[in-house]
Amino acid sequence: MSFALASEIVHTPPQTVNLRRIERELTALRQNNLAGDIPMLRACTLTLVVFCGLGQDPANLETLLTQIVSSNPARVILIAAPKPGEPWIETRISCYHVEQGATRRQVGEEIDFYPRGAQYDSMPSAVLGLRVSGLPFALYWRGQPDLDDRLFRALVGEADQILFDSAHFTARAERVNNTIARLRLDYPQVSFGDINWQRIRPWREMVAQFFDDPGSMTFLDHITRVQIEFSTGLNGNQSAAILMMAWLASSLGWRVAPGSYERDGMTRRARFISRGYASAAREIEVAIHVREQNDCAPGELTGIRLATPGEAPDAIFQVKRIEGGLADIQELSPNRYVKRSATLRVPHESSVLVAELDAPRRDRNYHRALELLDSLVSGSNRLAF
Amino acid sequence: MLEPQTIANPLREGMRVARAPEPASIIIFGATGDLARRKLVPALYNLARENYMPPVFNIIGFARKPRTDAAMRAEYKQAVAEFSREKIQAETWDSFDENIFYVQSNLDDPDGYKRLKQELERFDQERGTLGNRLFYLAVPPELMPEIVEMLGKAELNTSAGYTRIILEKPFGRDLTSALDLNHRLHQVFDESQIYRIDHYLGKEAVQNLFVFRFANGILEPIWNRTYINNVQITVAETVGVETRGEYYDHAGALRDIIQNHALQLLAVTTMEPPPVFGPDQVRNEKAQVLRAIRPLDFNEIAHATLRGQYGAGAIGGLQVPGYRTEPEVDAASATETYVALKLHIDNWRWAGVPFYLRTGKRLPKRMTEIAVEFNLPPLSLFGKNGVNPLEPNTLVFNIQPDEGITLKIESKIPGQDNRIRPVNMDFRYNSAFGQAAPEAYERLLLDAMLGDPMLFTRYDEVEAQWAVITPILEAWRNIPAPAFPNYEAGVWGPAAADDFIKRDGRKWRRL
Repeated sequence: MSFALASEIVHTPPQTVNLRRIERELTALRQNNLAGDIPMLRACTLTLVVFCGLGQDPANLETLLTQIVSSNPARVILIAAPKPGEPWIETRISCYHVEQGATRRQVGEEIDFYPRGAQYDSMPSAVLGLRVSGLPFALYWRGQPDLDDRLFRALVGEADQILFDSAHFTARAERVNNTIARLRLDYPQVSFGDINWQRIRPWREMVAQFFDDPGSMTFLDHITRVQIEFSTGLNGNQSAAILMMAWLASSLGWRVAPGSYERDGMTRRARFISRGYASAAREIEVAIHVREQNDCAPGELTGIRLATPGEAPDAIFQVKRIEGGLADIQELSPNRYVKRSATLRVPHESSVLVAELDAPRRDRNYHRALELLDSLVSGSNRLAF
Repeated sequence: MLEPQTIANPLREGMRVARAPEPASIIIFGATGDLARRKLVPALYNLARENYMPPVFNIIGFARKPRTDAAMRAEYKQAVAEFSREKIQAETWDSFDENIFYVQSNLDDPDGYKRLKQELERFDQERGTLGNRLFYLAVPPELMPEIVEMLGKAELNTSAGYTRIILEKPFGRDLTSALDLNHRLHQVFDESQIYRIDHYLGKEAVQNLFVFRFANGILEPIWNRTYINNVQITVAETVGVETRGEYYDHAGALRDIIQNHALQLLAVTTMEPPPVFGPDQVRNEKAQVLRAIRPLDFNEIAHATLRGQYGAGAIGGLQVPGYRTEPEVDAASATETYVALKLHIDNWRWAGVPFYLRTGKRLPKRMTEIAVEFNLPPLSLFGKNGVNPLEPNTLVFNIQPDEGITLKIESKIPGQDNRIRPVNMDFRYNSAFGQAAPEAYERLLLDAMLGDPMLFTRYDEVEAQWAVITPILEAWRNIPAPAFPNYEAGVWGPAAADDFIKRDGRKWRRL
């Protein structure tokens, strides 16, 4: 995905300002940015609050934010994870603009907060006063959500849309997803989303495609083995693989076999009971394990295989990531043998974020997957996760 | 217990594409021609690359020139490398290329169709294409009736799966020939099997017209004769006739652009909201509004139409030849390369609103747009005697090349006095979504494989379009053409074009 305008957008250097004079300084900044008598148009479609989790450098987000404001003109409030020290909030402002013919168009303004020490507790008041009235308020919590965090709780109560990226979760993915599942129940009016859920969308589409043909759809009733592979990251995040399992099981109406979810290092095993459209209910075993792939980001999926071993008819449906951003797709069934390559377009964080901001909604499939994950962990040894 | 065939794929719920096309054979008539090379095969390759093609498919070229499968594959590979919007990739090409086959035959040879049928049956058996067939007639219009007839005689109009046929425009040369073509098509194929392609309908910006009109509540109350002053539809091209001289010299701009693309844009702009966004409902409404266009009578044609032909001139700083010296064009040709029309729609919503349509070759800029100009406020509060003259609000749908929507509004210039100037509020596809839109042919081929005819033209639309155009063609035959050439390449048409609209107290949008 390319962002045609992103490269033409000018981001002014951030300047440090007094916390109490942010709005006035932003107005002055806009005036200073007038190029002679070139008229300036100001566009704004939302307030976007981005929280950077521990170990993330907010300065690295400039490209991401430029791409977002190029398509969703916004007031962006960037909050760095708190650092120890004397209570203090360093505040910086900057703006994004683009020149079009005789017009200069402001497409974004950014307010950065770097809180230190106990001053972090007053962050909610600083942030909420900067919301652009009447426009959507979106929160991108780029770290692990913590229900005990005061800022997180305050922002969740105000937001129209909350986005996470479970690829950044440091605790075990199952536990954090349980947190999100609970938040969903507490805030039914808010749209929740996970960037990682969108990252696995190409995989979900490729798997679904195997069963579009009514002749192949019958195989869904005979699947008994599923193998999901992922590439490890530094923290061994396997959220994508777990979401993939949860999507498959919840979409096919599989019930969790009690006490069946097991963890062994990086490997997960789960057992489900099928609903059975056209045949008797049967047990399905899902295994998640590591298969490294060179050009993969940590945590990305590298393969999925659905099989009907020992069942009649015998069939295998498989997608494997290969080098060069491609997927090797194979179907081996009594209907046909197909092997082909297609582009595996794992969406970039910015494109997923733009798509989510463009169309906030409660994704029923995502929520169903989270519910299944919740029951999977609840019915097992919770302490293991 | 549910029958598996009666339920939808549960894994598709909530996905962008509700299902992938079923396995199928795609048969291209005119497989070695320009359209197949420039548009069709690159579109099919991009669909395969994006994993939108069926799990099993065959692309079968059918043409007169001798070729082996291997030669056809090599030729298409070169075409994809040259014309695809995405670069060719070795792995995806290899898995695409093995599905390409060739059947050599004259288009009027019954044996060729027999061999084609045998091949298709063999593929169904060996490759599991389930008897699904999509015929694409990428051939000149005069060859279509014969191919259709031969397909019928060879019993290729029906099969165990689906059989669909895609036809390229133009659909006939006038109302009589269009009625005849539809009649001959309907003798062999049911209307539900026929997909008449007008690639403009596959453009994202045209599809967005539906969304813009019917998903935004603010528009409906003002989308009528009370608030809209006039509509201008422009299809401007910088190119000449290129390699299509022979075809174009027999067609002209009225048949080539106005009869299909421009009238379809008009229909989408002016149709009533359908009760449901379904293929039949949308096409019913389009046909209805096309039928409501008032045909011009002989006496009106002199002042409600204008034609022109380009002479030598310069485009983008380069000298270009005049139309009459283009390859395969008659040196004394009276074919029009520029047309302007004024039409009216006789219905409750649009009575009295003029619709100005213009198209031309060798104009200064390549641009297609629909400009909807609103009435001025009833009273000017900001200056008199020509001070602060107001510009009408204009809503512009940019169809190509820079797809988007622009609203021109009046705004106060900051200062103590009340100075006013127009400002454009822009929405641009490329910057708003940052995503390359698929080519129109990709969308339309996928829709045809999925059996969704919404973006294809139905027989009654085609006939309604010809009912508007045919009286003009007939009148032009009886009125002497202006002295051609009457505009230089690189200007906005004949000098008379400005007077054409000025008579109504209006002016063309400056593009």
